[in-house]
Amino acid sequence: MVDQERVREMTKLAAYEKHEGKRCRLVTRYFRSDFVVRELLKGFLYGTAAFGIILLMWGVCHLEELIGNLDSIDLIQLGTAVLIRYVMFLIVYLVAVDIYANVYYAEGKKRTKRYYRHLKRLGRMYEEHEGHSTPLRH
Amino acid sequence: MTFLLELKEKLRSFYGKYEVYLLPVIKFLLAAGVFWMIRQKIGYMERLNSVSLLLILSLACAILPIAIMLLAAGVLITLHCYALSMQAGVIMFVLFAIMYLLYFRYASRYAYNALLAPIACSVGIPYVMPVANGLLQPPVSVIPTICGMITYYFLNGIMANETSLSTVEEDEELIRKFQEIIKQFAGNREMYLSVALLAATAIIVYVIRRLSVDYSWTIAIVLGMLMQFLGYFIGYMEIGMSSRTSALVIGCLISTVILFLIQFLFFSLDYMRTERVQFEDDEYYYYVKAVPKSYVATREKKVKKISSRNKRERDDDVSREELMSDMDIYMDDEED
Repeated sequence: MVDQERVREMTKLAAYEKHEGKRCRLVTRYFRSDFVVRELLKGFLYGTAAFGIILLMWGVCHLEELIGNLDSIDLIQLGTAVLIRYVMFLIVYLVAVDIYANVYYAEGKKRTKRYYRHLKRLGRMYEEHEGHSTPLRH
Repeated sequence: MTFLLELKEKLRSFYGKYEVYLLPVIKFLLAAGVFWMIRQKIGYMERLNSVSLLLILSLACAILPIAIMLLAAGVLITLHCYALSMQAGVIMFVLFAIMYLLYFRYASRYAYNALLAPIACSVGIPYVMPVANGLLQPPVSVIPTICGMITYYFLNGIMANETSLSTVEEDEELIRKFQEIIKQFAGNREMYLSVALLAATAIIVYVIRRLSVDYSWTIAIVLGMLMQFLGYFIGYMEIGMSSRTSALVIGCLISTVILFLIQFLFFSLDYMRTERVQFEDDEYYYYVKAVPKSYVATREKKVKKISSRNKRERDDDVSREELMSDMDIYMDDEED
């Protein structure tokens, strides 16, 4: 005999897992600080790659200029200018990634708590109806 | 007004009932629109211009996640650009790579904005996008819209220079073409104007519509459109594109109508989705379709007028005397 109440709870859980499963797994696997640092590290790598590509495009654009003035170019000044832009770009980008990671984690935590509340309710239903807990598999 | 509210409720109910069919149809139409636009604008690779191929691709995108549609559009654009000139293809690929690295790997949820933005631009109503983003989505959703808009302007630049780009180049010309494309793209002042206005408008509309004041959505739409109109008007004057003013006026008017339609369809209305899930316990496998209550609870409403009665009802009325005579009841004084 199918228990309607139980099916209702299980449906809510399955729908949650379908939409929020990835976020839930990440939130339960990491502490907030670890998660944010992980995202920042990834952001650093991707941001550096993107900056490298942009720099390459700039280099191609000014290739003749660079080759023509290769002897007279102050490489230290050029390197410093590039480095300053790189650092500024990374700061802006990583601040954005940090905000994203914190909001993502906080929202995920809230939703995961709701998920566990439903899970507990389901566990109680099994105990009440069958006298023992039956594990749910998805 | 009542008619509009009833229509709105019916639309919501219709969407709820047939969402499983409607969503793929909407995705198919979006994919077909995007692929058709790419074909019309930059259909340089003949092999990819086959209508049947585009239809098959659109059908596949209708059932696959929206990120796949974005990927397919990106691949098509890159291949078409490559067919025109190797440099254009490489730069397009690099542009998409930067977009992916910086944004899309984080949030592909609003990817369809990147597809809708070029369509809106090509039909002359880009003004819809930032206001719609601010009304319906969080501010972060404006980033894919910006990505879509940048792609649109890049493709416009490619189209404008297609004659010089398609010539067969000498070895020393390779770098010159790269430079030409990058400089043309980086020096597009209209693109900067659009991107700045888009971001500012979306954020302002988002802030206004969240205010706890009456008619916040209407105020947000009107202010957002006004801001864009003035911004583009002044901007076009500044960059010497005053010939675009008439298109701006018409575009803004059409956009305002579309935005009020969006307000009508989405204001205080949650198009909850029907869930189809499957799971199991020790005894059963469950295949459940959970339909939001609001879709099935709506009933046909009947209005019964109690203040005025029609003629037939009045004719059916029986007076006290008539009833008494019908039932052979007589008053005491009459009997006497």
